[in-house]
Amino acid sequence: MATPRRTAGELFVSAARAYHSPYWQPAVDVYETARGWVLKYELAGVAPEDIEVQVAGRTIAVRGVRRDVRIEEKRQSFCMEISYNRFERVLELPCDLNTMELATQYRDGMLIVVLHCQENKS
Amino acid sequence: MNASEVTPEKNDAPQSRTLPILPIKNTVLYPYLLMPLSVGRARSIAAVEAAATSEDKTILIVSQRDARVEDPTFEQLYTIGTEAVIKRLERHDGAIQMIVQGTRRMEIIEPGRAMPFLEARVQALPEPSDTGDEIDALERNIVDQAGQIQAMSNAEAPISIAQVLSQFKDPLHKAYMMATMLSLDLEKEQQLLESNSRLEGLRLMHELLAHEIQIVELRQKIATQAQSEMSREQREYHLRQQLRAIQEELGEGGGEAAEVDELRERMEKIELPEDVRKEAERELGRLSRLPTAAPDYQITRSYIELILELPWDKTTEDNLDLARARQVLDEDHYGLKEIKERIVEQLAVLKLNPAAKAPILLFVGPPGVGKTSLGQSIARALGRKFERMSLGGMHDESELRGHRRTYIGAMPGRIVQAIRRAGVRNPLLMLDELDKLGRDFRGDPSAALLEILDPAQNHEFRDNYLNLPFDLSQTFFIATANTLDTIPRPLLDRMEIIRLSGYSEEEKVQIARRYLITRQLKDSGVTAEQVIIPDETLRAIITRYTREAGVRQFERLIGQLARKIAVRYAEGRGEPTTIKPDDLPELLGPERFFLERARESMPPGVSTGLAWTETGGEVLYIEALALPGGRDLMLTGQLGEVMRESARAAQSYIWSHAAALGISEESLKSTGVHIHVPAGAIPKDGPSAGVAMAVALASMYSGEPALGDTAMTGEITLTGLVLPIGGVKEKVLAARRAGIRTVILPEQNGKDLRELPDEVRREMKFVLAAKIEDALSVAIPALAERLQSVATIRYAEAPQGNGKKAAAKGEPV
Repeated sequence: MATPRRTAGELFVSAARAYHSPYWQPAVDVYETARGWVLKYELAGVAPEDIEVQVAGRTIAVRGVRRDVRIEEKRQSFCMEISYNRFERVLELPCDLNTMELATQYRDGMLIVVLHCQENKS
Repeated sequence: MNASEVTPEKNDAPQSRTLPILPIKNTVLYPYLLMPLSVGRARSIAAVEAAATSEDKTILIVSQRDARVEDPTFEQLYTIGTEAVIKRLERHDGAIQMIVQGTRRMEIIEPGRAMPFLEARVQALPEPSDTGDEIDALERNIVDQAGQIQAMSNAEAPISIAQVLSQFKDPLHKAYMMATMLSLDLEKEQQLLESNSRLEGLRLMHELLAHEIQIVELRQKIATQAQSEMSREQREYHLRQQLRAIQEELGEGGGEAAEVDELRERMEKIELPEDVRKEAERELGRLSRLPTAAPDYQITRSYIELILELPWDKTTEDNLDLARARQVLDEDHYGLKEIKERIVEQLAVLKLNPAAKAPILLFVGPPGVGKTSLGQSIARALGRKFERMSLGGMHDESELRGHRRTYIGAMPGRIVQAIRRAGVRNPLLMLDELDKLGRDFRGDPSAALLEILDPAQNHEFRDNYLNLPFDLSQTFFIATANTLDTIPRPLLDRMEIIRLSGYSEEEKVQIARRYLITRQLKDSGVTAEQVIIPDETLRAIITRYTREAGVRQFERLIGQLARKIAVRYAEGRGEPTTIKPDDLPELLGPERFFLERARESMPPGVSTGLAWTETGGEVLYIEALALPGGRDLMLTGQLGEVMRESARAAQSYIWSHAAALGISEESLKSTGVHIHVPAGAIPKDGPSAGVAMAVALASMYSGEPALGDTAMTGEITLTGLVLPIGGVKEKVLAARRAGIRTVILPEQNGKDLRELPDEVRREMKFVLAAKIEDALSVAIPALAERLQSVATIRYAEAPQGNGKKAAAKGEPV
């Protein structure tokens, strides 16, 4: 199987990606399995309804918004390291994704995307 | 299943919203770009707090028009700003450090409250998305310009601007990035932000960058000017260092030290007189302390080289074999007996006294008689090196003696240069055209020659450049000249004058036989079998086509004959040809000269004189005419002062001896005299026409014609003596050419007849006159009887057989 070289490359130049869009990028893990691919996005604090997954050809895009949770009305920020507002992460995988079965699961702040090759095809 | 599972949430639907406003100073935040901000003002901190507390951490960043305002109102802010998300935030001692990233451009549509922080209703502006060729072009230009600016500013950037810009896909974003990186005018930055199309923004950016480039250039120029003086010297220094390094790398001497060493080595190998060695050492020491770049370096170096190259002690061995010398001289030149003898004499002297000083000879004679080639031949006979220099037209003393070394471009004089070329101290040095030395305000070269040619001084000749005494006493000087008249007396005094008079017809024929024909045939590529030129043809050429003392024109004509025949051979119709005198007009053109035939019958009052010119001798007629009723003596024909005076002396003499000559006193008293000497256009001077004048006058007064075949020469005195004159040989040869058979000469010139070729002496009659009467009685036979009592006619003895040295003393017949 081909390795997702381009994806890996992009992972390491994520700093440069800051310029591509004004949005923050969630961290992602990519696994290859016997039946296809498993993608794991770190999207803690994002409401599931605010996440959008879009597949087109070889690319899979995950977009959405992280809204801050209001803890207390009266407060003062001392340090802020978590990125809020819009996020976007576009990955390109070495196979046509349109023909794959796609399943998503949001658990403990992680979005898990499972892409399976269709049984009848293989 | 192809479709996405989660329906995409629609992009920021709200048309307008209320946002806290953070005013910033001196800069503009553009969409997509990150910017670190330091927030200290109370209202700003409050605005940031509000944004940080909000769900999406959004704040509107707007530039304030005037950076000096501490708490700006809405009026003091631009109305268009950039919506930004706070990425990072940290609080230190009440101030907030944060990083924001612009997302999109926004316009304040309705100012809200001003306390505790500024807040307004804002609306997003559409993101420009126009495209076109101009945009593409501008985009590329901007990237280039950015690179240019980076190259010009000396800042060491870890990453090139072009690389940074390549990460932006939208051309307008590239412009945003550029604007952030350059410190531009706030107004311009804001203008860029407010641009509603890519085209507008890019045009603006392009203009700004062009301007920026100009400024950077100008700045650099000013900086360069300030530094240029310094840097030129530094540059030169660096280049010299590099040059030295290159030379060392190439093994080229390794700079001056090696050169000095090389010179020193050379100096140790050769023999130098003590004082010369001392001077050379001194200069060498000086050279070693000079940098190569110093102007003096080259001067000193070439001076030392001259010292080392001069033949201080080198000589060639003279070949003292007299027989061989004679043979060499005879091989090269025909005739010229006197000179050859002189050379052999010198050899004999050298044989007996090897330390003898070399003679200084002066060859005087008309052009083309072989003065220069004789010099070469003498060098060959003696076995000496031959060097020749022409003094013609030289008018600067320094050229002979050199310039002092203080002058730029100073050189040793021609004498020292010639010695250097010869490579020995005893060459034969030929000074050509001594009579054509010039002189002007720069000095008189002949004065310099005085020292050079004086055997008493020239063993310590001092050249201005060399400034060391050089011994020229072993140098054999031969000077040549066409005439002695222009040579200063003191100079003449130092030299032994040897005359080379013109050649006779017979000598020319011999010269042609021995040298000229061989040489010309060889040059033309024909052989002696193909062209045969008999003697009578050569004579015809000499008499009808040339009039010269030497053989140059004669040689050219022989060459012309040879070439005409060569043409025939080249065209394939050649056959061995004997050239007869009658063929000459066809080959050489019509005859150029007619023999000056002796006038066959001459009226009374005409006599035949002889003149000497630089190109040989001439026959000239002196015409005297009685002018009845006149009293004066009129002289015409471009006569010089001396000649006029000798005419008067002749007249006085005839008057005082009228009775003896049978001339009536009446005819003397009642007639004037006109004497004319053709050709009228040629200036003539000298005393040697005195005899001829006297004969012309005597003939005129007595009415008796003079003999046409008798020519005469000689100076006269009032008491009737005939004094000797010069140029006998040329005059006699000229007379012979003209067909004259008798020549009247002063008695004391009898010795000169020895110089004449034997065949001339055989053919002609010579009368040696001691008194005017002697000449008169020979020239005018009718007067001979009357003068019998006073005249003694003495004929020179004709040579006996082929005797080579027939005595020519006068003897009464």
